[in-house]
Amino acid sequence: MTALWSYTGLILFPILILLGIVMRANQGGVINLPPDRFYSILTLHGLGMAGTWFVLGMASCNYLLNRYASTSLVGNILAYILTVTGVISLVIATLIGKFATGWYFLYPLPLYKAWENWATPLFLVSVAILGTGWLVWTVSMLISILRKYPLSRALAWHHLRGIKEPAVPPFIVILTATLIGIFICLLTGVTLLALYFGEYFGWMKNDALLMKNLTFFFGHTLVNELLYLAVAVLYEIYPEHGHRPKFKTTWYVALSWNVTFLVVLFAYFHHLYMDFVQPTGFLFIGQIASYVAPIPAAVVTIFSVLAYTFRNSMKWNLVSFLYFYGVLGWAIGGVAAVLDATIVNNFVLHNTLWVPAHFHTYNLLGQVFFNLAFISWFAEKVSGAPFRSGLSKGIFASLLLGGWGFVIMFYLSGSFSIPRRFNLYPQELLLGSTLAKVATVFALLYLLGMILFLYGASKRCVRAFSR
Amino acid sequence: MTQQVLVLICFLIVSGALLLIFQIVFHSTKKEREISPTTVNRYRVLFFAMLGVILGVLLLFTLPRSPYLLFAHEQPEKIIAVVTRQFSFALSDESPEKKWTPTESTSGIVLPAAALVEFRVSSQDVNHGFGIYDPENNLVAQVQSMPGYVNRLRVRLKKPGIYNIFCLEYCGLTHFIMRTSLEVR
Repeated sequence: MTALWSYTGLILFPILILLGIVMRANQGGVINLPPDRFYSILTLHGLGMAGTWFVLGMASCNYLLNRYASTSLVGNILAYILTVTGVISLVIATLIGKFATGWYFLYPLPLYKAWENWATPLFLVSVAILGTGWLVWTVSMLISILRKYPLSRALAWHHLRGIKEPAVPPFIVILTATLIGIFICLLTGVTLLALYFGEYFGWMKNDALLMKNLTFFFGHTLVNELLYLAVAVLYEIYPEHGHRPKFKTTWYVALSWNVTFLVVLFAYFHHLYMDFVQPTGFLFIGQIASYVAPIPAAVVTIFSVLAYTFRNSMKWNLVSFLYFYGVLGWAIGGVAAVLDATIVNNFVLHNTLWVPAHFHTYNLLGQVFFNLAFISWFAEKVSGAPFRSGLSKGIFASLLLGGWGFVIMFYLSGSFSIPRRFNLYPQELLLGSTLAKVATVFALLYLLGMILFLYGASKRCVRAFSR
Repeated sequence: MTQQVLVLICFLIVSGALLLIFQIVFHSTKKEREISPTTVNRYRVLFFAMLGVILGVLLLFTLPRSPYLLFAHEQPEKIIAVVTRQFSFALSDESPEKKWTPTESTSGIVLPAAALVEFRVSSQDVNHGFGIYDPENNLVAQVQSMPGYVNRLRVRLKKPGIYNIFCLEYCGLTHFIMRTSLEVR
């Protein structure tokens, strides 16, 4: 199943990158898309990327969880079937039905149809199918953990009381905290969909502020949690490339991930900074939570990776390179996120291209690197053939140069007030068009790196299956 | 220098420092040496304290300057009602219930330079954004426009000239053409 998930993800990812390139090329005036096509692509690109990396994170955690507890194959297969069904419906709703609300389908826009009549219900149904599949998978993995470890042990609460035994791997602590977070945000997604269907069938009228809170709680938290899934895997695999013992759970690791699990649930308020009618206390909590959330990540995970690597005779290969420089991308994306989560800055950055700048940094150059590291580790393990040095260098250089060049264009655009989600830029903001053109070239380089990676990983998986 | 460029400079400095640290650590792997966990944890505590202090100071410095509290105890000299709907703005110095008059090119509103203005922003359909760009095309203030609610934005527009207003929340297929302007004299 892990190979199947990896293949599916690796095929979807370049297609979704291509959709992103098409949008940047359109903004740069290289091609000319009608707005309905542009915004349906925007919708599919956003949801597709989040979904792809969420399921790849889940699949890698599922694989490694088998080291400590037996997982349910049924849950995994069911999640795969529902994910494929959901993705097909989503593609039909967006590319054929031209459903175009952006990933966040912000209320009440889906009900103001400027697309095929059937596209809105189909879109909502496809999100429901995906949510159901992921909920089943989350619960099945949580059950697997809880069969082996009681909840208090899985979250390492005994370390918080100064008791070191029994030992619990950090992977289990992070995965448990993350799965609980995912469970909560998927339930919020179910509530959101139920309210949408309620209004769609004419049974009720919703409140725009409540719907906005639910949307961002669901979306923001899920995107954060998918990053933590990849981090959990890092704790397992990165130490295999050095000569020091594996990471252990200590009181500060336990504290860090328990705090992160709680704090991340309140950080989403920063999406509503420009909704002045939201109670001011909530908005201040948003900034405080956005400042507190990165502290455990920086002090524990990022610092631990640096401390582990320092003066350690590391085995540098594609896996360890992707992990090490993925942590750098995560850290830099985090800095940009904290700057944007500062209310006074958000006042002039909100909904400019600074926002995609920061999340593309910690995704394209952080979380994606972590997941690719896992896939290359997995491909090497099942095939027994490591990635050749030349191919590894080609992949890594293309991803690094293409990725950083691409996000720098977003940062520059954000700094010059270029709005996000504009199909074309007005005369006064034509700088955005020039920067989009340059970004297109860097994105093509990143795509080349991904195609090389797909080639390398596929070759190894084919060899493993033919043995 | 605009606030956005200042943010970019801060970002580049911190990112540069991070890149330097990662490169130093990367090159250190050529010479192996054991490092005691006590030393690591001493630096960890130091890093935690440093990060905590920086973020704490930033919080204390920035929260009181947030747009919700700015000019909260002053009387606005002008009150402008803003109503949005797909894909136009209507600005007036009367109530939001005024008869709908879309103003796609210019709102006809003229404001005195540096006067305290309160924009009361609401939507008749979906969520929109109300982003004010100064005559040099820098975003200087914004607020969301939400159905069923009125967001109050207080600002002082100091530079004389034409201020463009763009919708900054995706609101539908021709979102990118939704704009108006006002003049500051």
